[in-house]
Amino acid sequence: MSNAPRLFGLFALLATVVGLFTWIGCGGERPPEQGTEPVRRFQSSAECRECHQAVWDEWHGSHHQISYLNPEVRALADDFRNKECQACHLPRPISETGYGQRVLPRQTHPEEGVSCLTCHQGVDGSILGRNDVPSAPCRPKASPEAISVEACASCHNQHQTTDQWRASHYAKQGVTCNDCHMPHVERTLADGQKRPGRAHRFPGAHDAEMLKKAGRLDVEVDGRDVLVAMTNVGAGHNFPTEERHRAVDLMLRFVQPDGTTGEWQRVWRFRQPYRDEPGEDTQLPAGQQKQVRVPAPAGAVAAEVRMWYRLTPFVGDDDPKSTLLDERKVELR
Amino acid sequence: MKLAFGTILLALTACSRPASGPQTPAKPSDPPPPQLVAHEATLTQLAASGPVAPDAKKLAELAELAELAFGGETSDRRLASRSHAALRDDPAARWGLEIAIRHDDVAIRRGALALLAEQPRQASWPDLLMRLKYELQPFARLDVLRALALHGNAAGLAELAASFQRTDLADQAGAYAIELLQKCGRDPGEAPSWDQLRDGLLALAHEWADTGRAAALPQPAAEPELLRARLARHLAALNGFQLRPVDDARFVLSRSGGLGLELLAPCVLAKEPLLRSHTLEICQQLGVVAAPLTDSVLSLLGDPLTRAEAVRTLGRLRATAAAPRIRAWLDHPALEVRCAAAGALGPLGDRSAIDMLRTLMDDGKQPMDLRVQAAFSLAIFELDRPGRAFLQARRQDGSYHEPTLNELLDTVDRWR
Repeated sequence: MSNAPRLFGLFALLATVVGLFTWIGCGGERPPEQGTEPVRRFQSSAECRECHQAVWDEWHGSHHQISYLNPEVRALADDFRNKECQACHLPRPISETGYGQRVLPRQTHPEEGVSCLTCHQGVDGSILGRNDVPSAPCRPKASPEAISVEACASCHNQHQTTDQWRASHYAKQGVTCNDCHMPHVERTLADGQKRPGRAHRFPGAHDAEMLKKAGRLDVEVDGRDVLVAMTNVGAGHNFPTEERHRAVDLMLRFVQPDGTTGEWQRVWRFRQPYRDEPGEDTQLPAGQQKQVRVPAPAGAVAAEVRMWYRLTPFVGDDDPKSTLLDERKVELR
Repeated sequence: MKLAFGTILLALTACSRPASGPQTPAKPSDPPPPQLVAHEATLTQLAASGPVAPDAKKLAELAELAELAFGGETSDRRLASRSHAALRDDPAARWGLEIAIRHDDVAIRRGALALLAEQPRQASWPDLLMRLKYELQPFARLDVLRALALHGNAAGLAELAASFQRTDLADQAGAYAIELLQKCGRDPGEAPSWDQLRDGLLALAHEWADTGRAAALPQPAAEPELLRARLARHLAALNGFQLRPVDDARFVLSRSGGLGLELLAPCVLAKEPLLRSHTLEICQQLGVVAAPLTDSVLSLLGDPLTRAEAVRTLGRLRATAAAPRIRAWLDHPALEVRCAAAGALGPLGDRSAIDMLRTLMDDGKQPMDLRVQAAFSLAIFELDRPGRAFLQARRQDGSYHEPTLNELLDTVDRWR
């Protein structure tokens, strides 16, 4: 038997070893250390959809996703010529500037607004979540900060909503933003297993059911006076909160003996005025009540009261930007 | 034998493989991280320095004088005249007038603006610019534009020229234009045409945009310490939480011409990320006026957080030395950087990139963000009309964010 094939075999083995080391030295694909380096740097929420279709479906159409498209926001931000609005309506990952700090604006994927990556991308490009899952394709790392109140504060404390929550009994009880705005849901994994998760619809000012839980309307009669009150029983912050154009109106009209009714009159408005607008901040802090006494005119036999939520203060009851939260009728003695 | 050759081939080709796998494409090497220095405390210190305003009692007295002098029908004429004279003679009057230009009563605002314009001082710029941001009453707005120009600041002259289009404002705007041009030694004659006045104002505005000063405008008394303190107060707000003061700072500093550059320079390399990021935005708005800060901006190409913003800024600064790097970054792994590079090459004037930009714009497989930015740069190069057509087509078919397209097209129009 010739030595040539053996020599070639030895040479081949040597070359393989040298080649492998050289390849790695040149920066070739190393076997990834699980859970350390990001698999890839995600650029868009569309990439998340590949595995998280259900979550993506919830987020898509939410006010987070449409935050840079929403016609209401476009009008208020002068079509985003008002640059101060852009940072929170098209934000880069919160992790980049730090939780509880302001975010910086990005210039890409305007259709994604507050995207998956805004909350879930770490400063090193890794994906952040509730748990470490090294086996998942995006290898999420557990990040208590990414799911904390501080993460929400980066944008939502622009209007002091987080500070309002901090001053409330909810903060002391440990009830956080996520408990109301990202309720628990059950998720089904690819292998059919069930696990707990959080909804990604973010209900708030555009969700009638959510709004109806926030304020309780009470109407009583005291002699010939009608006592109208709203109690903030459900919001963990002021009600209304956030934008200065949000308002809650208590409206009342009296009923005459022949059944005719007078004009609706606004007996109280809960709202923080614009910066250059006169008036006081009348938003109602969590747990507090505001009561208004309205004397009944002679002859009135009943009073009707309605509680409205307005997305802007300039709209009437017929406008789709108004939501009827509750209504009552009381008989007068 | 075959196995051996195959293995050798593997060893040889291994070295030529890209540094990372297909999911993380090869990236041109990023520059080293810049040396960053904490700067917010220095700004806070500067903001607290400089001449001190009179005490509250004196300020209240000045405010009352302004109300009596300019309060219109509600005040006695003789009293108004005496109050006006008292304000004119009081060396501390400017402190009261700078407050009175924000008064609820428009007559008081206008009177205070007129008197402030009579005694121009450089450190009144920030207050006048803030008024420019928030003044809504059209005639008071014209007064702000006039006062600014008489303070040597041409940031509002394009708006003054544009006011000729409004029938209700044209006469007042025209009178102010004639006054300003006369004070500049460019007397438009007894019966100037609107075009002559417009051209005269725009010549000053262009000089301002190109150099950060309008030498022909009246030069106000220099107040370097007070001006530095007031501008530093705005800059310190860039690192705060509330966005309104950030926007105020952007507005004031980007309309302060070359006067703010000395303060902006250390902010570019500030350790505080919000400070350096917002300073880059200000530099973009200043354009070539901020060119002296190019070296600092170049070093931010090594900062992952502000890299894209730095690329955009270099375009607006027309930093031609950065063109090769920016061209290479059309392939950067981060989409944000690729888009910034595509959008910067037009303003930068790098015509050698036209073919690359055209390829990107036409490639349907590229992200729309990138194609739009490439089209923007092409639209800046007037000779390549498809760039503008691409942006307009996206606006028409609704396939991209309309406000972004509007802004890009507006920029293209202004560029011309």
